[in-house]
Amino acid sequence: MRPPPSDARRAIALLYVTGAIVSLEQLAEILALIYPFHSSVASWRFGLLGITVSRTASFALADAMILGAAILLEHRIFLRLAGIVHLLVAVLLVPIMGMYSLDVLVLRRALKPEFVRGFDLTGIRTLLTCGIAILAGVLVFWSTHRMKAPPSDRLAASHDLLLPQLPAKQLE
Amino acid sequence: MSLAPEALLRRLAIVLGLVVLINVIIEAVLSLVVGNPIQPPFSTPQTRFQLVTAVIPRLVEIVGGLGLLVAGYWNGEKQATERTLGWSFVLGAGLLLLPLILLVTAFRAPHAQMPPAGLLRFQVQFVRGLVFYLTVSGVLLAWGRLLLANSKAPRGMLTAA
Repeated sequence: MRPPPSDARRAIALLYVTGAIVSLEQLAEILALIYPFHSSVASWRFGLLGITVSRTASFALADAMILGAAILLEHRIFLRLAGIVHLLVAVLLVPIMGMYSLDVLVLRRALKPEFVRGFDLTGIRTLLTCGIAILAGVLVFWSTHRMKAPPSDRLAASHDLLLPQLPAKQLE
Repeated sequence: MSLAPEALLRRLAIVLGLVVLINVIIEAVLSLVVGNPIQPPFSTPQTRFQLVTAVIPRLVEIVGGLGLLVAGYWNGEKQATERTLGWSFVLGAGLLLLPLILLVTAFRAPHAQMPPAGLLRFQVQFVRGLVFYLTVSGVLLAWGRLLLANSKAPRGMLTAA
């Protein structure tokens, strides 16, 4: 893949900003919905994960913008860091899923029978989406850590660009 | 085995595109089965209208997810996958005409009974639905045609539809 020209690089860099804005907007909306914080209440924790998981699509789109920009601009260190963040999120999601399952079991007992089916389906949806997010996180980490190093001739070519070019007549 | 930047870009586009689409499908199924007031069997035109307009915010995410898949498979090594994806998009564009028909038919009956106060809002919702469904259908058709045309070209060559 050829490195993009400098004007295209500026446009690609805007993808970082767009991805960050989309992510921050989603985070702000989640914070507004879950405030005030009651981390000791099982129903609050149930709602928190449910609300976060329902926004997976937006987060994934923002993620694609940021990672795409990093690959096109060849920001290798950033890509590696992003891969580690993805792995951390995936690892963190495993105990969160376990705690969520326990919360579901506790809350389920207190429900009226007519609401149990809907509650179960919501729980299954959240766990399913979390599972997909874990898989995607591990895949992103695995892929970003297997990115090929740039060929040495390209590095040499980029150094050549810095040297003054002699006119053709002088070369003759 | 290490990945070239282009291969990495394709792989991430496919993975994240699939995450988006699976999430949208799961959410849509959940809202159909559990969500109120769109409980089956969608007996009244009002509930049908609500159902069709409720899908609109998700259409944006669907377009995003499909766009990532196009980026992942465009001009790739697997021409057969590109062709299958192209036909799926053409089929998807055709299938999107069904909710459009549902939207138009569901609009007519409540429109006649609507009090003047809520009429403008109802009409705006209808136009919004019409514009979104037609746009998404057009985008899918265009992508499908591009993928189908490109699947016949030799690799490394971009073709204009």
